[in-house]
Amino acid sequence: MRALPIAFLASFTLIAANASVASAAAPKTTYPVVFAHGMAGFDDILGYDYWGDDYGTFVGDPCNEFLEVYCNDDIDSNQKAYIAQVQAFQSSEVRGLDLANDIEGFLATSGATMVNLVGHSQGGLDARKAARVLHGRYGTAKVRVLISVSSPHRGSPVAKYVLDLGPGVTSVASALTNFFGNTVYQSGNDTVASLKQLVYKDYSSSDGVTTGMQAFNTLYPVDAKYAFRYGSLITAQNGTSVNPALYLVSKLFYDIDGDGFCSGDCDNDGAAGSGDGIKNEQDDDGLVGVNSQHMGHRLKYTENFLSLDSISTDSGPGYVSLLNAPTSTQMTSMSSVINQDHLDVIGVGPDTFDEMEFYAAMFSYIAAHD
Amino acid sequence: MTTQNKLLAFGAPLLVVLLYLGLHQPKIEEPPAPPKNLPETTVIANTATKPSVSGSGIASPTTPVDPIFIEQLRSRYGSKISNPYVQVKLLEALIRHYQKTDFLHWRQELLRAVRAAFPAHYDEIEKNLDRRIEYERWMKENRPNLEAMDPEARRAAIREEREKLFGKEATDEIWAAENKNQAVNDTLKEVDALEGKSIGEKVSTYTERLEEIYEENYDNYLEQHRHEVLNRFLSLDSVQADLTAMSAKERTGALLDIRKGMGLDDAALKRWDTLDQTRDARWEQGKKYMAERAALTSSYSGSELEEKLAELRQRYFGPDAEVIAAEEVSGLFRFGGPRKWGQN
Repeated sequence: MRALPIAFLASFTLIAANASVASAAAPKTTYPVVFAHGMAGFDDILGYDYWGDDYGTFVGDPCNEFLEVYCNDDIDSNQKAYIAQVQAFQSSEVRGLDLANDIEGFLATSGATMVNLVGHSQGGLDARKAARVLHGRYGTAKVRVLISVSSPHRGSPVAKYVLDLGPGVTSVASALTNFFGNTVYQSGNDTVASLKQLVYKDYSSSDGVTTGMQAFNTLYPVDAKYAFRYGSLITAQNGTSVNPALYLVSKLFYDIDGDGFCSGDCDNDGAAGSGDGIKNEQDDDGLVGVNSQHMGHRLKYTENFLSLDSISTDSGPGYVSLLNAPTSTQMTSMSSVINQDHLDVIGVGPDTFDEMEFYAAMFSYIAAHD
Repeated sequence: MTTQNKLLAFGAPLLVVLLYLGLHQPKIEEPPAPPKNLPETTVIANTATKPSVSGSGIASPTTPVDPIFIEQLRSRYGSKISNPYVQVKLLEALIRHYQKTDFLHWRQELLRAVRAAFPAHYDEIEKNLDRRIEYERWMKENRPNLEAMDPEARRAAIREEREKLFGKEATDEIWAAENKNQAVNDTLKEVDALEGKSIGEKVSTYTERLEEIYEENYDNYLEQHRHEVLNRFLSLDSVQADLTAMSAKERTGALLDIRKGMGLDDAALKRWDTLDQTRDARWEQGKKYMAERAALTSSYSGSELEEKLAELRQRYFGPDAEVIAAEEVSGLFRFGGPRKWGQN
């Protein structure tokens, strides 16, 4: 948020003359957009800011000062956004409740009456619970548009692999420490609960608790009662192209085969659906398979060089209303799958993925539907 | 695929490429084929196509750059192009564009566009392109080492490399937002560690430090991030401990002072007052529920206990009984956990 010296006034005047070719910003959403982070980092994931570009500028900070530099000039200058904060490693029962409480506080501070929710990874699961909790408290929906990005709605085989202490894993904590650093050991975290959440079926019948996405999906469904519109963005990238941190996961731990269909977790890999027998292809984003990510509308992200990117509804694969019973097409279609890994779409760099434009396109999509 | 097979699968083609590069000096006219499975967003240091006219890196244009394209670049980046952060963002956009449209000559085409659009800044931007590519290469190469470090050591190592590549001044400009975020984090830790200070003094220290960090943009920052600023303060263990130690009346006053300190207006303060009361009532009910639940658990078992608990949840929580039940079977008892003042 730093204004440049007045010395640039002259050049600004020249630029203003060319305003006709400037790309328009995304329209302002009616309700603020709340960002819900995934496992681990609230604002620091291995030293990178979660909801920022690769240089730490928050994607929801509008440019509303003269010649402001550290802001997203693809969004409306009056756009409102908020970065929610929940426990780093916990089940989505815990994190979803945290998120609902945080949103409730945000409504009090801001005066907004509703919010839109964007959740990355586990944040997309937390968002569904938060939407239901808020509905229960107020008797009406408090969430207009709910979008998940790279979320394991039907589980992640990596979570089960780590819990099973598969080859290369000595303990759950050490495996997660390799990936997330010592933040794993902060108070309030429960790494085992966080991973059990991401396994499709109840992980263990003898641990005294019922966990997993299957039960979670039944309780926190896609339902217009809780949020008016649901949509999901799906990411996948070839194994050799993913972020080295994720490549390490697939190399040392588990390479997901995530583009096959079956009812439930028929191959017992920890996620619903099966594989097609080929792991090393663009069927997962390093942590989540394609067949786990579709919820509600499938959304299509289109990059437009030097003009506003767009996100639209891809009606081809259809609407996933029953999260535990998607069709074969919904689990296997590569339509609108974004060629990025699990971490590219947040502020983990360096890479050339433009988080500013990506999330501006999301603001635009939300504005059209909220 | 086993690790061994992967090594073979990726190692064999790599060896062929290395042998090819060893035997053939790359030429601009005959660049090597692009690697398969090229990630969309990876910067490839394709030195084979790096322009080398007079060693200046100036590309030899074959056709003029589209004037509309130049105008678009100037319109989008021109007013702030002196800032290295903006230059890096421009470069990333151009890399993304040209690696898709003309992978073999992306660097050459990129520099042509930069030269046409921003001739006065060409040399600087070209250098920043090389630095940006080297930075990404270094980060990827050193990621395992960086991940093994504690956060402070990792930040120091990354900063050292950034300064080595871009220089201190440009590093400060490019990562200004990240540095400010880090400064806020450091401030929160500092405030949390203050001993013998009242909550009011902690609020003052916090907001004063935020003003120092954001300088003339503080008001705008606070306006954009008010709830975040408030919430992060209330997340501090020492603040929660202080609030817990207070009487209900003192706590109400302290929360009011904290919120006023963060600049909440009267309407927001009123909404918070209502929410605090709602939450107090929720917890009061929750405690009663937990007490009754404990009594039932000690008196009944099996399906009879489950029936009694279902009735109890229905009586206390109505439509939310199903959610409370699911939380309990997952191991969460929302009223058995700590009250976080101003947060739940």
